[in-house]
Amino acid sequence: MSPNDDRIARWRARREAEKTSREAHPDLPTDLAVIASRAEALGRGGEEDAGPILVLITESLRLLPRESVGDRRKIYDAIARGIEKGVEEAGDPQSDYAELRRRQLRTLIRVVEVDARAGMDPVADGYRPSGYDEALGALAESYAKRKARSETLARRSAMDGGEAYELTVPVEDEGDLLYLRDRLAVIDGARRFAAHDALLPGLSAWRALLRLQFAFLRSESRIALLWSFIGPAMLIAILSAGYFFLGARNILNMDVPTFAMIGGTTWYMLRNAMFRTSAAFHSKRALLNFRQLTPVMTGLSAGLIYMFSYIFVFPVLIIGGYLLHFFTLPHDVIGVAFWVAITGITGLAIGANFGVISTIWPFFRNLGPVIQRSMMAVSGTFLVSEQLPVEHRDLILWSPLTHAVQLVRQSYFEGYVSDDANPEYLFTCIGVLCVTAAIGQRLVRHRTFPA
Amino acid sequence: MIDFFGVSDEADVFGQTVQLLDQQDFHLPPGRYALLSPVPEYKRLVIDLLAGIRPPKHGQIAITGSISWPLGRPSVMRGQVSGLDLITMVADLYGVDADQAGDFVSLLVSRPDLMDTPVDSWPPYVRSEFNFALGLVPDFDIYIIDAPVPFEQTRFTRMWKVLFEDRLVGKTLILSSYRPKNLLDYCDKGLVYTDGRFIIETDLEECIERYPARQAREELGFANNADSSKYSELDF
Repeated sequence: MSPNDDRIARWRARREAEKTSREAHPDLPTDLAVIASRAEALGRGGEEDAGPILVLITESLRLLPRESVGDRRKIYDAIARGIEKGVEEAGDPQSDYAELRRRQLRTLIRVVEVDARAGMDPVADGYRPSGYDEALGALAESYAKRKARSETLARRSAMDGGEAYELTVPVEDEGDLLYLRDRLAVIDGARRFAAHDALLPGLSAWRALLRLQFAFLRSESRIALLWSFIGPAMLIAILSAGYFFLGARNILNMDVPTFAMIGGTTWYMLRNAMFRTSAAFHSKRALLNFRQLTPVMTGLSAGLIYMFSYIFVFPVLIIGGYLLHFFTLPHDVIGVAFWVAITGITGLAIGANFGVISTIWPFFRNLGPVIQRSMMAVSGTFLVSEQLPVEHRDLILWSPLTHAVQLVRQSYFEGYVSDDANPEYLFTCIGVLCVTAAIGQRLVRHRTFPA
Repeated sequence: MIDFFGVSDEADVFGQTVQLLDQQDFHLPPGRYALLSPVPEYKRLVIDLLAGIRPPKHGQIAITGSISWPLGRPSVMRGQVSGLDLITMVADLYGVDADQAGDFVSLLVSRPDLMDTPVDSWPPYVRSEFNFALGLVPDFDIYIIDAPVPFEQTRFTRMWKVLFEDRLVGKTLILSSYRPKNLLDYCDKGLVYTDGRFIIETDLEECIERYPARQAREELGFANNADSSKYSELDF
């Protein structure tokens, strides 16, 4: 487009605007009608800033005669007329917004007039009326208060009427909002159980916890996961080396490497079950913000997940060790699995009791390493009771862990029958531990605060 | 509806054991309540009781209907697990479909691309959005909010507010916020905890003037109640 064409286009646009303005304000001269038309937009939109009104005033004063008060008054009246038309078109001439625009215009006229009569030029570059910020700031503040008040009243009215308070969202968000509302309706429709059901939420809570605990396990570093294998492997190496240095190749018909593997791996599982359970009583307190979950549940689920991880650790160690000619295969696989599970349950029950104790006495948690080593000594990891003189066997046979690990070994090795391991004693201990944990937890539950 | 029957409770607050309630019988009818207290540090402890997430030392608290977890409480959505893991957990707990819940939350929050990354690596505003977005998924009879309602001028806030208004129709709300505007916007009554008892005030504005909403010390970054100082390990 040539400069001439551009000029012609602008002229045509101006003529068109003048024509539209004259039609909108037929009783006004063309210049004032154009100003009134421009002012309409200032009353119609959601703009709260007074700046555009001031711009229109100063531009209009620049374009038209402004020497006398009467000349300026005509301009102000045209702007007021335009704003009034704008707010009427917006639909609510009595609204707080309409009142704000009227007051802003009146205030601006006042401050501009004061300056004009004092000899200042309102059309000079960079002109800003004196007292602008104070006068307009107070208006904006009172408008904000009125707006908030109106909103509060509208909200109260919606609350009283049992309706949702309608908030306006920009046009571009309306589609998303509609879709989100639809998604919520679908979620509500597909809900599996109501809040007052008893059984399903209980089962779901356990499922939720176990899945989350598995996610925690998965989120731990690969080295931490690898440690599930390395820990027992190192203990096996230490135990085997100890026995080999003493010249032992077999212990009561059990080959030393497999004997060490059973003791070491079971101990690691036991230790994880115990201490993950007791630690989760406190470290997973954030989960207690969900009403369905209790400290016992968070503790047991943490312990269970680590216990379950040994479903993989045991077979990998046994098969790997067998292929490398380190270990022998189990004599009674089901028996081994059963007694390993019972050993894990013993660990969970002890862990739950530790959790209760540490709720009452937080310092108890600092004793973890000492307790762990003490329990290791009476866990049957290093030896079975039959290796001790009869008069000293009671030193370790009080511990249910010794019974549990000896029963695992009895199932594993065909040639070993434990004379001391007593399943009745073990189950009695587990029962007592479960009862004390349940009673203890009930008594101290109020002391565990959700994080 | 929440009922307290002969409830007595105590808690450690800043190293001192305080008696929160003593043989209190109290009935909270359905409505929208702003939780206020002259000592804001007590509000969190009181919310734990109202939400049924910590039993009192003595007595019974009966909650009729389903009740939310304390929405907005920052510690709830933390850990090395991903947002999707937490969505799955909430879906399992409240019997909703995890995939649908995941879709909904992803559509609502500002950073759906972070959903399968560890929550602890998210910026705080994303965690907050996630927390509030997930709170919309199960339909509760009683909503408890223990944080300021989202107020930043963002798409998330606009959407969340509209959807929350939809959810709130005919429901009970207990809101604990240090922003008076939040309280005035969403509540019409005050639930005041003072001198070891609850009072329901009908003139909310007057109530807010009398018990100005302000942040508890733990919200300002000071140590939480004595219990938290005992157990510093929070790996979730």
